[in-house]
Amino acid sequence: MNPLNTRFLCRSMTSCGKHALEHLPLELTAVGAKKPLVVTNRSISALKGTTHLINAFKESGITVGIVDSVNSSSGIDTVKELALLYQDKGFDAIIALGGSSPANLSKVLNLALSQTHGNLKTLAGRNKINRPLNSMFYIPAGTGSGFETAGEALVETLEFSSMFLMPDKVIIDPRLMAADSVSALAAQAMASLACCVEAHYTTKDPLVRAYASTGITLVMENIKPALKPLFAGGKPGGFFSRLPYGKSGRKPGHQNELAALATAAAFSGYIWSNCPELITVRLGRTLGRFCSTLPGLLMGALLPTVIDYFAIKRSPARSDAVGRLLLPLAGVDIFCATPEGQRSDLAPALIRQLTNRLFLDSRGVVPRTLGDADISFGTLEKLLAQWSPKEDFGPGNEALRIILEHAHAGEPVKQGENHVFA
Amino acid sequence: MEGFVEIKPGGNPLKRIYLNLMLWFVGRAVQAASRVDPQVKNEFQTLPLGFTFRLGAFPNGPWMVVQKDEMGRVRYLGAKVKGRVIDLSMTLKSMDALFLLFTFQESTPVSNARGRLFVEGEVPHACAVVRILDIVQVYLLPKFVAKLAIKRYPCWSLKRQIVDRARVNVRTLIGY
Repeated sequence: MNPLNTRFLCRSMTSCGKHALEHLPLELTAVGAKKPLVVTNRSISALKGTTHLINAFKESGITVGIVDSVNSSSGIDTVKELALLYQDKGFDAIIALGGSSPANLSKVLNLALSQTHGNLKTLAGRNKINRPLNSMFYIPAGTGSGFETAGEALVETLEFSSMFLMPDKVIIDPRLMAADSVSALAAQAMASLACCVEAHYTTKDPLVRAYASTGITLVMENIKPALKPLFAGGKPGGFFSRLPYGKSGRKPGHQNELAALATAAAFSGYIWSNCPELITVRLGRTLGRFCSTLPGLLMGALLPTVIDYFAIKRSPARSDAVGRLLLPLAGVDIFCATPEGQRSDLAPALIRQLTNRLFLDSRGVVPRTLGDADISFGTLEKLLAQWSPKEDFGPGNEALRIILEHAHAGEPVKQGENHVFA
Repeated sequence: MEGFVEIKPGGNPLKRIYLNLMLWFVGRAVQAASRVDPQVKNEFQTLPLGFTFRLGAFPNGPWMVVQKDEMGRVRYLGAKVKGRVIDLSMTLKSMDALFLLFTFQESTPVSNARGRLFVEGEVPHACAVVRILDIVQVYLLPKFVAKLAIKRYPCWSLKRQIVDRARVNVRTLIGY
């Protein structure tokens, strides 16, 4: 590995932990902002996310504007309305509070306000933005898609992609963490895991590997404890289970695990911005357009098969790269206890074991395979037909066919198999 | 626009009163300890004459200003920072961070490790001031609270534990 031949850019400063939100006034002052506009949605307001934010501004003398009417259906018209409001009221920074909808809209709003030449439609696409934008902060609250910190934004049909879209500061505070559904939280965690795992074994960039390794460890250590209260929520309980824990399944001590998953999601956003060719993420997103299952869950179902396909040639370099995954996935004890030749088999097996466990605990909400997600072979054929040659990867579309077929059945890809599409 | 509100978050008077009181007390205790405790005296001897430092929260305080004057005497100058030349500023990033520190939920090293503290001035001077504040907190607080506030509780002689502690506390109260 020669680190001189690598390139990694992360424009965001990440600040996470207890009372991290209270540093916000200082961080805003550091970028010269005096009047921020907070873009959020009603569910975050209902969970007192905005109350925590306002409390953080006490004694700072900073006036805050809050818009909480943003949702997944907000489009370019909302961006235009927000831009007018921003300019009329004299705001000078944007804070996105919440999941993917506020993050996407804030990025496009920032683009509309910062880019003086050209309109939004001409700036849509890859790397059309050529200079830094205004200050934008992102504060995760609730659950997201796992890619809110990435240099990309999607509003209506317009897709923007540029490193300049990454937020300047990402502040993760456990008090803002909440999860009300197994599927949303599991999708966020599995999307982070898929992104970090694939980046870890496909790239030789030591910086990407450092972020990926941390992201994998955070997900593996926290996914089960974070989801556990949500699994238990469905079961009839005793006296203590009926005590008021707060809204939306939030329970004491649950927030730290959720904050750890949010940190992993922030890291996966940084990695995705630097490694846009990750197959699992691209396939999961594309498949997500054809079915109602969240893309993150599909990425989790696809991940072991994609790893298998990568390692199928059994070249020493590839086996070594997949084997090295075992260290962040299972920890140093299991890594050292496993012989070198077995590591590349154990790594995807551990991910399969995790998805199988989650499938059982969530009573089928988290899919183990594409078949569990009710994706038909017809849908897979449709995906294959739409996958343009431009987006082709590796040895050709035959690779995609093999991956989808095996991920649908949940069977490992083995060397020397006759891969015929069912 | 629908769902838009503009809010000017107010203050937190109770926290401010508590912190003002704590800083006032600690400031006077630094002055008292500099006249009683040999270790604090030594630490102040390493600092230049006319050296002024402040401890407080960003952006509007509360603050505590302490000066070693031209005669080498240490004086607590109060909470006002305007118009003073400050050689060393130890600022907590928010009043909440200062509150965590002075309610002993976090020690100074932990607060620093969590990125809540920033220093403007010479690092050796800041280290000396932190050592002075640690000693002062041991004088002022009962052992079980002081253990939360500092990194390691010191092993002092009986004279220092009883006689010097009493002298520091009396001098702090009378402001001498």
